[in-house]
Amino acid sequence: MAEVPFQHVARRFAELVCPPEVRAGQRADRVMGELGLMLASLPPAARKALAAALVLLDQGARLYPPARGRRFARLGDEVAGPYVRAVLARRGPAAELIRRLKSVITMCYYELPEVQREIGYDPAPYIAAVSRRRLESYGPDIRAGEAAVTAAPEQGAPGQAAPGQAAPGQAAPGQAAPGQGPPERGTP
Amino acid sequence: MISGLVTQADVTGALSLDCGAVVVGSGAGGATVAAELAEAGVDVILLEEGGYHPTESFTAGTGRALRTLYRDGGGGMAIGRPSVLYAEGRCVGGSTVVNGGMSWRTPARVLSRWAGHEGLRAIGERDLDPYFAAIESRLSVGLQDPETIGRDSALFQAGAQARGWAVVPNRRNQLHCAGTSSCSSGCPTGAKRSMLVTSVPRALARGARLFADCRVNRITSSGGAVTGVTGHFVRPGGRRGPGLTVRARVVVVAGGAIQTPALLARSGLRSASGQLGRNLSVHPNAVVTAFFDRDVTGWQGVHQAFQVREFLDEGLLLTATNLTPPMLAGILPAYGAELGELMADYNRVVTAGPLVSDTGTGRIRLLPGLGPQVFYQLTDYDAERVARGVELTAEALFAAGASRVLLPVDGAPVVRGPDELRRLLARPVPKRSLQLYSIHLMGTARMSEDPRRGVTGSFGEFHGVPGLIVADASLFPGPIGINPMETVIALAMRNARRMVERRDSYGL
Repeated sequence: MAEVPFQHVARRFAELVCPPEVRAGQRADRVMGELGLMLASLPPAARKALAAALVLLDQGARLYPPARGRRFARLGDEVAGPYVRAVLARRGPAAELIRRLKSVITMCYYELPEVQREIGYDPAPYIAAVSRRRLESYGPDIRAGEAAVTAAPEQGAPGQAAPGQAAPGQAAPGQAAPGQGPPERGTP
Repeated sequence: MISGLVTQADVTGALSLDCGAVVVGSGAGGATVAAELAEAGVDVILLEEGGYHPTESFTAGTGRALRTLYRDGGGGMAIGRPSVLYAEGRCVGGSTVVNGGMSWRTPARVLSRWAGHEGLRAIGERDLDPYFAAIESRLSVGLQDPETIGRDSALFQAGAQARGWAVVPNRRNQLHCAGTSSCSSGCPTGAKRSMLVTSVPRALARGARLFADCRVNRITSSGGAVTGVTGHFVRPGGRRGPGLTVRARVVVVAGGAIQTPALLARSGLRSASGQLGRNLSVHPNAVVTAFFDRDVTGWQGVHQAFQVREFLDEGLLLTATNLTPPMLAGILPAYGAELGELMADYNRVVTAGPLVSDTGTGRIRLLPGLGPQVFYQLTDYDAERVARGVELTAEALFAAGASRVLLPVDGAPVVRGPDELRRLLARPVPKRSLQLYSIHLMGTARMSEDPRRGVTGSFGEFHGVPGLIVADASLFPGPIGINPMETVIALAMRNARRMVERRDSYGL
C-alpha cells in the first residue's frame, strides 16, 4: 500500500473533516489506505503540493492563538475543530490547497463500501440486475451491434454503410428500440 | 488479452519498430485515425500512455476509476482565479471510456464560424454530414431506451419543462445502455460505444499494433519532416520501463488539448502562428446540488438523459449529471458532521449544472520539472454567464420540487426557494468564488488555413512539418458549445481518409 506523507497529520485531519463515524472501527485506517492509493496516482508535483498542505496545516496551528504554539496533530478536538474551520474559510493558495486535501480525504471516506451502504448506495446488485435486463431485452440487437465493430470495411463514399451496419441516418444495429429519432445537429 | 496488444508487462527490453503511421493517443481522434488507416492497409502503430482495462474490469468504484482510467487521478487544475478542475482520460480508449457518451453533430453556426474566421476548407455541413452518419452508425448513436432514464434526469426535465424551456433527449453512443450510471467509471456492460470497444478493436482486427502503458517523449524529425517518435514504457507505480523507438512516415498526435501541444513543444516543434498551446477553451461548468423531500436515487438510471437547450444562443447548456458519493462529497462545501448530514440524504439529491461556451482562452505551458501546466482566466463575461447558468439550473430544480439547493459559490448559504435564489444572485457573484470544472478541453493547436493564425491546416496537418498530423480537440478553432466527441471523431475520420486518398504523398 502506498504511504501517506505526514500520516499522523492526515489522519487527524480526516477525523475532523469526515463525519464523526470515521472514528468508528478501522475506518480512519482505511481512509488512509484509500488516500495512499489516491496519492500514488497523482504526479509527483501534486503529491508534493498535498504533502506541503499537510505541513502547512500542521505547523500553521502554531500561529493560531488558541493552540498556544502547539502543532495541529497535537490539538484536542475543542481547539482543532475551530482551527480547521478557520483554515477552510480562508482565501489564498495555501487555503485552497488545504480545501483540496479536504476534498480528497472526504472522497476517500465515501469510497468505503460500508459508508456507501449506510447512505443507501449499493450499485453492484443494481448493475447486475439492469445488465441482465439489457441482455434479456435486447440480446440479438446487442450481438449484431458488437459484431458490426469488426465488420467489413465501408466502401465508397464516406459514411456508406458496411454490410451488417445500418445505413447512415438510420438506426444502427441494436438501436431499433422505441424512442429512436433521426440524427440531429447540435442545435435545435 | 486482445490480439495485437502489447502492454508494459509484455516488454522486457527496449523496442525499435517501423511502421507507416504511428498514432499517439487512443482516444476519440487517435483510435479513429488508427482504424481508418489500418482499414486502408496502412501499417499502423497505436501508442497509449495509459493502461488497457477491459470492460470486465469496470465497476462503479470511483477511486479505482480515478487511479486507473484518468490522468493524475482526475485531479488536473487550471491555474487562475478561480482555478478550474479538469479531468482527462488516460487509458486505452482515452476519454471516451470515462465520458458521458454524448454524441452530437457540430452546430452549423460553429462550422460556419470556423470556416469564415480561419478559411477552413471542406468543413461545411454537407462536407461533414457523411462522416457524422458513418460515425453514428458505427457507434450506435441514438436515444436512450426509456426504461433506463433515471429519476434525476426526469426531474430535471420536468423542472425545465415547467419553466417552458426547450429540452431535448440526449443522443448517446450506446448499444442499449443499461442505465448503470457508471459512465465516468468505465461502462461495466460495454454498452457505451467508447473507442475501447469500437475503433480500437476495429483497428487491431485490421492489423494495427497497440502498445499500452507507453509514454511518448518526443517526436523525431529530420530535414524538417517527421521520422517517428521515441518514448518509454511505464511500469506500475509510474516507474520508467524500457525505451521505445518507432520510425514512421506519418506521426499522428492525438493526446488531447493539453498533452498534444505539450508533446509538440517538447519535441522542439514551433508554430509560426505562436498559437501552439494557446487558445485553450474549457467549457467551464458548475454543479448545483438540490435536495428533494423524497427519494430520487439518481444513481439508478442513465445520467444526462436530457439537455436544456433553451439558452444555447447565450452559450449555455444545462443538464443533470449524477455524481457518485465520493464525487459529491468531494465538491460539497461542508465537512465533519454537517457533511455527514448532507450525505445522509444522498438518495434525495439531484446534481445539475450549466456548461458555458467560453469566450476567454487559456494556455498550456511546459514548466521545468512539472510538465504541462494549464493557465486559464475566466473572463468577467463568462463569469456572469456561469452565474446565470447556475441561477437557471436552480430555478429548474426548484420547479421540479427541490426543497433546498447548494450553489457552486464559496460561502453561499443554503437556498430554500426561488425568491431567496433571486435575492442572492441579484448581487454580483465574485468571480473567484465560483467552483468550476471542465471535461472539454479544446483549441491548443487550432486549425487555420493561414499559418500566421493557426497551428494546423484544414485537415489537421501541422503547418510546415510534412507528415505531422493532429487529430484531437486541439484542432478546434474555438469552443463548440456542446459535447465535442463526435466532432473530434468526424474530423479524425475525414482527415484520415484524406491521408489515404493522398497516401503516395505521405509515403504510406
